[in-house]
Amino acid sequence: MKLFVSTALAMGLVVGVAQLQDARAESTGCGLGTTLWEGKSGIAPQVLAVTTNGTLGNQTFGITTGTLGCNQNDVIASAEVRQLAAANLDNLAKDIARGEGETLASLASAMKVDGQDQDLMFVTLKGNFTRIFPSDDVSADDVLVSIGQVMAENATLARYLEA
Amino acid sequence: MGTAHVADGTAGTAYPADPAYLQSLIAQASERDLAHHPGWLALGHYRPDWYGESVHSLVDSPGFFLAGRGKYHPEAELEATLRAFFAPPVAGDGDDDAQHPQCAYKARYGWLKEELGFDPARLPEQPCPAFEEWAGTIDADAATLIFPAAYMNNPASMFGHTLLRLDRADQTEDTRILSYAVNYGAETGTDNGLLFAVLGLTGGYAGTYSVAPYHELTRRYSDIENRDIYEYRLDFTPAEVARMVEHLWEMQGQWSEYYFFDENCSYQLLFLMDVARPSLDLASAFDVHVIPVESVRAVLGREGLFQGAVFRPSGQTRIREGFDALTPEGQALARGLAEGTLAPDSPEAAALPPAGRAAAIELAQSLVTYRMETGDLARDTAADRAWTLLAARSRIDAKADLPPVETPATRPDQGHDSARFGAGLGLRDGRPFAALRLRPAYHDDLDPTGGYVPGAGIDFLAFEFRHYDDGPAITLEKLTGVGIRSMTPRTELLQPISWWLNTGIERLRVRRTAEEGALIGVFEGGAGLSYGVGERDIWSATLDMGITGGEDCDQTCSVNAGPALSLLWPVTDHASLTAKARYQLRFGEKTRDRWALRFGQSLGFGRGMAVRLEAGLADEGGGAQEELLTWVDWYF
Repeated sequence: MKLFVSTALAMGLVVGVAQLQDARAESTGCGLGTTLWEGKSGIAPQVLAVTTNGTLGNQTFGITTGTLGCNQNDVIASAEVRQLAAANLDNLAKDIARGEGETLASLASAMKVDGQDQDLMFVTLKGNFTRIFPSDDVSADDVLVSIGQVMAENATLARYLEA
Repeated sequence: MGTAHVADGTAGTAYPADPAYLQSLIAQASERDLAHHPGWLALGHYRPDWYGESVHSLVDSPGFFLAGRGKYHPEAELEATLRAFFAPPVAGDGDDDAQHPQCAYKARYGWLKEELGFDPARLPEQPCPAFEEWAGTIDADAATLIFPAAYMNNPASMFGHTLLRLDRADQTEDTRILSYAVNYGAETGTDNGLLFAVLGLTGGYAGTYSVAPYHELTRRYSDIENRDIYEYRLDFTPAEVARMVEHLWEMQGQWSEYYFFDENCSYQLLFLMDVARPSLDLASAFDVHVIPVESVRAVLGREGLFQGAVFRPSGQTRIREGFDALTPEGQALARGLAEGTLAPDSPEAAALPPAGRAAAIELAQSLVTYRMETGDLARDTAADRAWTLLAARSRIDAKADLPPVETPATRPDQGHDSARFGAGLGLRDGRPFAALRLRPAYHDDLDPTGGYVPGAGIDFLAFEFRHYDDGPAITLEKLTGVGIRSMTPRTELLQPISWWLNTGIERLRVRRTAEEGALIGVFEGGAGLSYGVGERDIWSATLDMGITGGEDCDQTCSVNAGPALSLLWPVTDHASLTAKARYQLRFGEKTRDRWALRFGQSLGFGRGMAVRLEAGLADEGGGAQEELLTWVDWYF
């Protein structure tokens, strides 16, 4: 009986694996999570700074997102933009192909694109899908660089690139 | 926490802070017993001891306390905190190692300043550039409780998880994924299930708060784990939310021993809300209820706190609902595109109007991504196919013809409470008995379905006792240690395996003369397929295996295997029907095969009560015996 109860308790714990793992911290990647806790040193702040780079599973696009935010490319992107693109490259690809969606809207918002220019941005990116995603093997950084190039060709959209 | 060192009270002479003022503040705090104010107790994560009047803090990292006895003495901690605030200004530009205690303990400072009305002339306020920059990035204005619901086909996830999202003032429905969310969890560093279980039970993991963009969390919960998310907007003022952010800042690097059953993710988020508004005292409400969905109920139950819920369907839900909304031609196209048997420029695609074609392509791409994430499709194939589909989608100048996903009628927080107590009367082969049962958690097939995933259930530590009219005073009829069922219907698109397992103690009627039966231990499980014929019915066929053993071992100790057929039909959110037939070959010394038929139906009244009727006919070795049983169950 006692054995059974303790076995049952132990099994109940296994049930909680998913829950604890929800929050399991991996080594901190680059990206905003790092800058968020900038100035903090030691292991504990890294736990807090954790971004889920590397724990977000495979995405169909973007195998090289691991370096995102670690090198200074001449891209449009703030840390917030990069982190969004890296974590949600599949969703971003889909939204650009559709010309709508929350990932695209959030990208526009993070790039501080005014509401009245967002439709133009969405249509422009949609029309250039195959330039932004030239293959199924692109990195989030490449995608952001291409988005910057596409927007730079449009006088209205170009002014959002200085950020 | 860097070096948030304790000042010794004899602050540097060049510093204008006034030692006499410190003594006056300490006296004031003591006079008003601020150390036992709900606000201070929440800031220190203090909870009452099991016995007596004293308290202890749940925080286990020594660096959190400024007083040596701080973990057990909130008054000593308060005094030490006030003393630390009088420390001389730090050199440098405010990076971590030079953080002033007023900054390191930002929420304490804010709360005490309000309570005691600090005079800035006698206690100069220190700049906190590192904190300001951090809080500015989070930019919180409101708070939303996030509850990722159970995943299909993973009943373990029924216990759920909670997060707190810190919303921005200017966010919209579309840009809310840019806001930050607070998670509380443990760094386990292992995927070893046993080690995990042991450490989780004994507090061997250190739980900490973490902050991440909401889009990283939705990616995990909506796209990878396919859990629907419920977002509960809470009525915290911007000032209260600011206090939460301050507290998060002072909690960084601090940890508590993580116990799966009580000091878990949900519990610690409640402290955050208590810090924001001490009068809520949510941590007390959770002392008896430890399941995350119960913390959601506790929060929503507070007067005026709940402002409305938003349903965020998972990737799988969107695929399922979207597919149902397509025309038959659209469905055939979506399937063909996802499987790679049709190309986006095929005549079948061209035959559809642009909006229908766009919808089919979008769904096909979602399905390809979904199958890659479930491991059913290799990444190389999936990436190529998804890219081709999206490129084709970008050339269609129309919005997809897809309706928004409807919000379920009953949210998880509106489902029945997790604990159940039942009283029953029955007849076993004409012999009357009375029965009582108690189950701390969580949900079985006949409990009201509203708010739960149909076909999914967990029983945990469910006891059932009986008293036969002419028998011994009380007998244990059954103890289900853990029982899990996951009967998920297969569709053309999604093909999950159904499975169940059960471990516990039950009775086996091996002789007609001993109707109480032999007490045996059971470990069994099965796997198979489920289908739905109508809207809500689930028909399942499984192949089961198990081992049993106990009293009368020659007749009960055996390895068992055999088929089972079952029907679960939650006719409404409150009424369910079940039927089950089972045959088992038993391999033991003197064992005989067994079979069973069982029917059940239930009717719920509100969230708190249900009645059910069960009828069974079974031969467990002692000849066919019938059982009739009626229950009244209360949920609490």
